[in-house]
Amino acid sequence: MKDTIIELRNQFQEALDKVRDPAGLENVKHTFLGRKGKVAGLFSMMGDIPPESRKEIGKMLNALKSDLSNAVELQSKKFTSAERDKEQIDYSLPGYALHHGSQHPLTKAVDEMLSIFQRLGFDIAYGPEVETDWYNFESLNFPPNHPARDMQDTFYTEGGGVLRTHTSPVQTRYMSEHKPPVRIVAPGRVYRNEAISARSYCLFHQIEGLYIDENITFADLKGTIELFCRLYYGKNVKIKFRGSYFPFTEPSAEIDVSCFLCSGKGCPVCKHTGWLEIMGCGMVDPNVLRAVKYDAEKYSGYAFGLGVERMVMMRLGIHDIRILFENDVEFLRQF
Amino acid sequence: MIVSIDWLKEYIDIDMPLDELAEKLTVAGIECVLKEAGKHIPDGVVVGRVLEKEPHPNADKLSVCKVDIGSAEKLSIVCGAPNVESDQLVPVATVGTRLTPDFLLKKVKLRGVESQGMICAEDELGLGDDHTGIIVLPDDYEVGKPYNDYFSSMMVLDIDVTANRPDIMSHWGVARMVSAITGKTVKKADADPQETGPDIHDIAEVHIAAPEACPRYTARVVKNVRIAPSPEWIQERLEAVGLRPVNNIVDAANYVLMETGHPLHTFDLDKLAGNTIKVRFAEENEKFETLDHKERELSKDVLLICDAEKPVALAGIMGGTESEVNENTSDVLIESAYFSPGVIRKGAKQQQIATDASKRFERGTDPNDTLVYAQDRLASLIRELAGGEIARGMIDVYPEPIESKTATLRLDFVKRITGIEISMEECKNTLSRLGFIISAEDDRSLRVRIPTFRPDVEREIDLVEEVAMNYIDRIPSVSRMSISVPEAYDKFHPFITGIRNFFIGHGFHEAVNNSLLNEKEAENGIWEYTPLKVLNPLSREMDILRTDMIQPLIGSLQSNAAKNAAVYACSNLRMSLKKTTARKHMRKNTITSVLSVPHLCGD
Repeated sequence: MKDTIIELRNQFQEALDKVRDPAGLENVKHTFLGRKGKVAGLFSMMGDIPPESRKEIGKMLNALKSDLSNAVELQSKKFTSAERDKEQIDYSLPGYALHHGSQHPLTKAVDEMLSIFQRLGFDIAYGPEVETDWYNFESLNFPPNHPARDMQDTFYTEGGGVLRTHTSPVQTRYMSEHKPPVRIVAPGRVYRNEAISARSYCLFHQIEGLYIDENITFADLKGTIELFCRLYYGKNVKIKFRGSYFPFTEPSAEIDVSCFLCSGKGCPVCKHTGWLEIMGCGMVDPNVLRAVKYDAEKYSGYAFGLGVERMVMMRLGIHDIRILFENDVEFLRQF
Repeated sequence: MIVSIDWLKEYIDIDMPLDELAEKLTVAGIECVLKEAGKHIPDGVVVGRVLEKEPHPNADKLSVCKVDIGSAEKLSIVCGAPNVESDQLVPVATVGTRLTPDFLLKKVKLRGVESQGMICAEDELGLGDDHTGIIVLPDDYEVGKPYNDYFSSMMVLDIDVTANRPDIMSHWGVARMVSAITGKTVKKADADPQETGPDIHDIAEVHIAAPEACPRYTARVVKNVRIAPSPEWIQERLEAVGLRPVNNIVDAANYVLMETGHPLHTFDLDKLAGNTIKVRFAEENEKFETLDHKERELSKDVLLICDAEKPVALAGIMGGTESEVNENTSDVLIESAYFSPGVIRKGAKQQQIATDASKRFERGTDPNDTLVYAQDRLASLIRELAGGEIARGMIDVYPEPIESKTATLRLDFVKRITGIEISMEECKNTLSRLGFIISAEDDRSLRVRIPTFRPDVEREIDLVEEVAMNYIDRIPSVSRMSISVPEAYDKFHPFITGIRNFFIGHGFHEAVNNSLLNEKEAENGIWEYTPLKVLNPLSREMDILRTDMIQPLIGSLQSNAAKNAAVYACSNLRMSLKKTTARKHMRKNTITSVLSVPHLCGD
C-alpha cells in the first residue's frame, strides 16, 4: 500500500507537469481528487488494511490528499494570475508594419471593365499575341494593299507572323471555334510600330467585345454600350455615337462620353470639347461573318473595342503613357 | 483635308450655323473641326489717326505722335518709322495687346519719353516681312475700330478623312455630305472648255504600256499661255486650304484638285520629247529626279509617265523637275488619268512619299465623269487665268471602260442592321443626295447604281451604312437582357485573379512590362527555346519577343533596387505560329514572381 501511495504521487506529479491550461488542470483534479478519483479509490481500500497499519496508512493518505489539493490550488492560482497579466497588454503600442502589395492600374481597370461586361452576359475569351496575317487583317476585311492597313503600323516577326495590332482577331478566332450565339469580351495586349513618346507606346491593351446572334441590331449595340458607360462612369454620363470607319464593321461608329472631370463643361483633359472619345464600334461586316462561315443572312451582331491605357490615363490624369510601363514602386504602391 | 466654307458655298447653300454643321458632319462620319484660317490680327490693335507728329527730344530718328483711337484720351506714342505723318490712319497696338505669344505690349519709356502703344509695321502684325515703315491705311477706315474687322476671316473645316473615303477629299464631296444632311442641292458649274486651237491629235500622242495599272489616260493641250501669278481670289482659297500658290497654271491644277478631288498634272509640252506620253513601269534601279529635287532610285513596282525618251513623272505621285511648268512655258499638256489604287500605294510606299495626288489615287478616284470634268475644267480655268487656246478635242485612252456597279437595298435588311424603320422615301432621298442613282424600285427594295466616285461602296451593307449615318441619332438604345448562356465559362481569369491576389497579399507590387527585349535581356530566360525575332523593330533594343516574364522583370527589379520593395508580374502570354519551335512554349501561361531581397524565385 505504501508503494501504491508513492506511485500515485509520482503519477500525479507527472500529470501536473504536462498541464498547460486551466482545462488540463481541471482534468487532473478530476482524475486524482474527484469523488471517484484515484485518491478516493485508495481511501475505499482502507477496509482491507490490517488494523495495526491503519493509523499509519490513514495518515499517509490524508497527507497525500492535502498535498495534491495544495498543488492543484497553487497551479490554479498561477493560471489565474497569468490570465490577469495578459489583460495588461498595452494596446496603444504600434503594431508590426504589414507590407501590402498592389495591383497594377492597368490590370485593375481591365478587371473592373470585365466584371461589368460579365454582368451583362459576356464571357471572357483570349487570343495569341503573335498572329497570322489572315486573322489580324484578312479575316477582318482588310483588303490586301489597301490604305486601311496604314491605320495600324505593324510589327512583323520571323516565320511570317505579325504582332497583333488589335484584339479584333479574337473575334474571328473565337467564331471559327464556336457556333452562334457568341457573346464575348477579349482583353489583351496589342502592338503598334510607333515611336515611343508621352502619347504612344509600342504596345498597349485593348478590350474587344463581340455579340453575334439572330436579330442583333445597332440599337442593341447602343443599349449595351450605354449600360456599360453608366456602370463604369456613373449614371449621369452622356453618350454620343458618331459615324466612323473600321474595315470589320459596317456601319461603324466612334463613341464619345461626356467628360467625367468637368461634366461636359470643358477642361484640358477633354480639350475643352466636353467630350472624350472612348471606343470604336459597329455592326460586324458580313464579310467577317462569311470568313468564319457564319450565315450572314441569318446572323448579325456588333463588335466594339476600347484602349485600356487611354481610359486609365484619362481617369488618373496621367499625361505620359510610359509611366504605366516603368514599374516604379513609388508609383505602383498608390493603387 | 481642309475645306474652306467660303469655297464650299459655291457648290451648296449653307444656312445653318457653322458649328452645328461641323457637329452634324462629325456625327455622320466626317470627323471635322471648324477653324479660322488665314490672317488674324491680335485683339487690341485698332485703327488710329495721327493728330500731331513732333520730333523726339532725345533721339534724331524717333518721333512722338499724338494719336486718336476713338477714345477721349489721346495717346502719346513714340514711333521710329520714317514714313509716319500727321493725319494718317494707322494700325495702333494698344497697351495690353499680345502681339506674339511672348510679346505683351506694355507702357514703356523710350529715351525718356513715355509711349502708350505702338504704331505697327507689316511684320509686327504678321502680315508680311516689310519693316521699312508703318502701314498706312485707306481713308475710309474708321478710327477706333478693331483692325481685325477689315480682314475677311476664312472659316475652314479641318477634316480627318477615314481610309475608305476618296470622295471626301474635295469640296464637291463635302458638299454632297452637306446635301445629305440639309437636303439642299449641290450646284456644279459647267466646265465649258472653248476649243479654239488646232486638233490635239496633231500636237500630242499618248500610249499606255501598262493598261492594268493605268486603265485611262486623257490629255488636253492649251497653247500660248502666259505664266503669271494667279489672281488673289485663287491664292486666298489655296492658302486657306493649306496650299502654297506657285503660278497660274500650277494653282489652277491645284484648284481643280481641291474642287473635284481628282489629281491632275501639267507638263510643259515643249519639254516632252516627241510630244509623247507613254505610261510604263520603271526598270529596276531606274533613276529619276522628282519635283522635290530628290534623285530617286526606283523599283519595278513604280509606275512612270514618260515622254518618247525618258521618265517625266512618277505616275499619280509626283512630277519631275525637267518637264515642270515654269515662267518660260508656252504650251501646257494636261494629264487627267486614272491609276489603279494598289499600284500607286505600292509606289508611294516604296518611295516613302505621300502627296495630295497619291493619297487620293490610292484610295481610288473616279475614272469616269469626275476625271473628264476635271480635265475640261482645268483647261478652261487655265484659259481664263493664263489666256491661250485650248486645242480641239481630248486624247482619251480608255481601252476597257470601268462600269458603275449596282446593288439592291432591302428595307428589311436596313431594319435588321439598324434596328429602326427607315422609310423608302428617306432611303431614296439620302442616297440620291449622296450621288447614288435609283434605277428601279418595288415595295420593299431599291435597285441602286453606285457612282464610280464611290469605290468604297459595293454591297448592300455599304448602302445601309450610307443611309444609317444620316439617322444614327434616331436609333434607340435597347437593352434586352435575355442572356444566352454559353456551354462553359472561362476559367483562366478567375485562376489568374487568385494568383494575383495571393502575391498582392504577400506584399508584391504587380508590374506590367514591355514584352519587346534586346538579345542580352532575352538570354536571361529560364525556358530553353529560341526567342522570336521582330523583323522591323523600333530599335535593336526591342527586337525580340519575351519568352517568359522573368526577363523584363529583372529590369524592373534593378530599377527599384534602391527602394527595397517586392515586385511581381503576372500575366498570360500566348502565341500561335505554325512551324516555329517557340510555339509550344509560348502557348503556356507564364506566371513569374520576383522577390527583390534577398533572392529571386521564379515559377
